[in-house]
Amino acid sequence: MGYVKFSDAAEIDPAIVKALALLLGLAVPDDEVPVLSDVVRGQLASVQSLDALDLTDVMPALEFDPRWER
Amino acid sequence: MTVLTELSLAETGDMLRKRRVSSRELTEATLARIERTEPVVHAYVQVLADRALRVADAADREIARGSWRGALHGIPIGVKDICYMRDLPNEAGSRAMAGFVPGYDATVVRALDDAGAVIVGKTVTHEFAYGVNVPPTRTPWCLECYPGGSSAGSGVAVAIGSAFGAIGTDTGGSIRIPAAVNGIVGLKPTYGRVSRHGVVPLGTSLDHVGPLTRTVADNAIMLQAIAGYDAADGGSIYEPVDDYLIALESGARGLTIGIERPYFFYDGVAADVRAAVEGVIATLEAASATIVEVELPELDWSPETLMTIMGAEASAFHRRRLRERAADYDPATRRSLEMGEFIPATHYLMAQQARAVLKSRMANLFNAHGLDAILSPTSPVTTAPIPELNAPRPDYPAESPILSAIHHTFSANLTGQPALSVPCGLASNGLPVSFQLLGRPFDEATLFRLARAYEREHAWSTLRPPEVYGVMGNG
Repeated sequence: MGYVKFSDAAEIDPAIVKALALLLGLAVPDDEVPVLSDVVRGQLASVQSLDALDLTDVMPALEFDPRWER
Repeated sequence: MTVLTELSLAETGDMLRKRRVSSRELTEATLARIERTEPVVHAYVQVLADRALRVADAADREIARGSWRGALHGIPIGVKDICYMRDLPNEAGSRAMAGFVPGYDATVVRALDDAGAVIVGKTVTHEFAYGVNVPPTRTPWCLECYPGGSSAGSGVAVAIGSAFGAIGTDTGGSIRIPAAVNGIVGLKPTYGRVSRHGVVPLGTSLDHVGPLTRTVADNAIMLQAIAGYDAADGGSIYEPVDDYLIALESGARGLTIGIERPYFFYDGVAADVRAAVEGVIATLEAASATIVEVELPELDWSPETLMTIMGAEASAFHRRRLRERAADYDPATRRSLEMGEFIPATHYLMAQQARAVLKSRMANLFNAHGLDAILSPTSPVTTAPIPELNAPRPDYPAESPILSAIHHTFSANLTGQPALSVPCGLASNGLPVSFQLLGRPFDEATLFRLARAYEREHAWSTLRPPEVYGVMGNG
């Protein structure tokens, strides 16, 4: 299986980002694609810390309620 | 001679009630202050002089016939320009919203009107409260420095006396950071405590509305007026509203404060800030609070968790406008919104799971140690010159000043618990330092009580920025 690992984030080049932007319907100017590529690489690296957590059986806080169980 | 705009909201409220001053006098003094200071600090996008004077005259008539509505009646207040005011432009600091005029008031504006407050103007916000562009607002403590954001105008207006209090919003620290930078008190209430109906959203599950003031009592007075359930806000929560003033002077005895050193006192906390906040701990301990050392390793997750949630939620809100008016966004904001679209749904959900764990561990920590609050610096650093905001800090090169500034504020937006920022002195560079109190959900009253116990011993709230006198003169 060929999942992209975070260590492979460097392989995310401007061409991939431009294709992704197209998929999202975003008109990113050519001169900004390299900047966005850096950001997407950073984003993937940064989410690594969350990916390391064991979140098995944790319900996401989608209907957020700040109260604590009494 | 008493300079009216230098007084606290509580003091002027008392004078109004006793008819020792009129709301028109207060409002005129505030408008004069705005006129004098605005060319330098740019805290307001709109000054509502005619409306304010009409409301002030109405307040004077009501008070004269014995219908005093409470401590905000007749008091000049500023409102961040992302809170709708009916038939008035609301541009949220963006050309992308230019020309928008809401047809109704935000619930928080209506609450201020009901309390008889005099809204003198709309204050400057970073574009859509995102905090990535730099608005024209300048802090009177250092005119070339970052004014804090995104409630920059509200923070500066209160600090400089061009409002007695102001409304801000906080998605990752946007009330507490400008409060800390400008040496004033700022509260991010519990999630769901103050309605966000009619407020332009940034991160819908992280957004909070709250007050910025010069003193702790003033903050309690403002929260009293704006707190409460609102069915129009899907995040609003039905919980009784405490009397925030009743226990204000009860002192720190009997209260337990947690100190979490690994995260909140990490190596990035500047030496002056550390010393000032250690002084706060010592003061509260001397005032008979119990101090307990605690640890919460999950706080380390806060930055990635918040940025993932906020990025996705902000981009979802702006998705349509970004495609229709991309050129009207500041390039920095536009790039952030584009970046947010690249966050996969799986990452967003994972971040919401991490948030659920953080909230649960925070609750366990409070319960296990019987905590009433956790105390930390609000920001690990004082503000910095704008050109240096993104450069490595000389004393801690691993972070830039702007990255450090948000290090301590994110967790409370994720847990939803209340967080109060209170001034605690000046660093050796002459800039304000503040501490932050994190509390139990819907227990703002205890945070006010602890903050007041400190404020009684150290009246930093009476300190005024030197630029007020050096550049703009008094009065």
